[in-house]
Amino acid sequence: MIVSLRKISYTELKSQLKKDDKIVIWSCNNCVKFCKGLGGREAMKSLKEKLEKDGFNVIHTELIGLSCVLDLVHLRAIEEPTKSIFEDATVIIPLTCEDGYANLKHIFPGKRIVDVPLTVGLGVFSTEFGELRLTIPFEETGLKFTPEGIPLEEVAKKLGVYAGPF
Amino acid sequence: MGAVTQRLPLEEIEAKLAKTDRIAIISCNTCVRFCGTGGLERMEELASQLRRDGFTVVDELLLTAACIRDYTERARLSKSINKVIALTCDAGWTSIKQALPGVEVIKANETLGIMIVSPSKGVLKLMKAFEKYKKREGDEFGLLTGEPMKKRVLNLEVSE
Repeated sequence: MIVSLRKISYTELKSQLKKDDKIVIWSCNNCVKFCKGLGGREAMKSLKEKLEKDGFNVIHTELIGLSCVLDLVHLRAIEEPTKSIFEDATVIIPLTCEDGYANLKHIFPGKRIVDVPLTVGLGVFSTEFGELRLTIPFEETGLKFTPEGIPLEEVAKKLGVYAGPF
Repeated sequence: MGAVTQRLPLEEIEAKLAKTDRIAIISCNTCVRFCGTGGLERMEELASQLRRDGFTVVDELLLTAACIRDYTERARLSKSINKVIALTCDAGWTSIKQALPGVEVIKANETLGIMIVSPSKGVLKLMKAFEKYKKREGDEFGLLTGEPMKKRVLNLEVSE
């Protein structure tokens, strides 16, 4: 399973948004949900509530099975009811892995896609841990292969980024 | 979706096995199936090849995703096995190692990095690679076959 963290804090996210932006929050219901709840339905709902409380205009939340499947992302751009929503949107906040981010940039070239995800490698989920743990890190993280897995809070701390939802 | 994998040569796998071993093969029905390196057909093919070469394959187990350890922990494998072949990505391999600590777990695939998939174009693309495969970032492979594509069909930016 792909392991992803957040590059930015909520404050940094807000600094990239304007009050007249029409915001779509986008997520998958797969790997990122297991990444301490970085994505998935709950993460989208809580971020929408936080942004609205701070005066931002969230026009839609879109939950997709897998954002790394290009065709599924493309369908949202060409078929109603989502086609009109995405035409109207000015910014998309991806709660995905880097693959999802790349697909969004490709399918919606005219929109601002906030650079949220940092994908750090592959990992194992277990209900015993209650979370996904990083076992096969990308070398650029400076972390080593760890058979038992590294908790994501620890990975985020070492890399100076954030784990879990906004 | 997950990891891009490529098959290791059969000789490399067999070199880690003994004729006296009692072997189980575990595979997934997601990423590796998309890459043509796992799934039911590939697992049966590997089991047949090994049996033909005189090895004893006792169990073949197809999981949804071996990287979810709960699945591997609940696997009802024969108690007599002493080696498991992970026909998975490296995350599946670590998950099986965690779930079956007393058994040697052998990789049948190498993991290149992470991918995006386009079923309509019949292709998957390596988007972010491990160091060893960094030069192959952006390479494309046939969906379900893993065959390298001669020409790139997805014009997407890969990570830097």
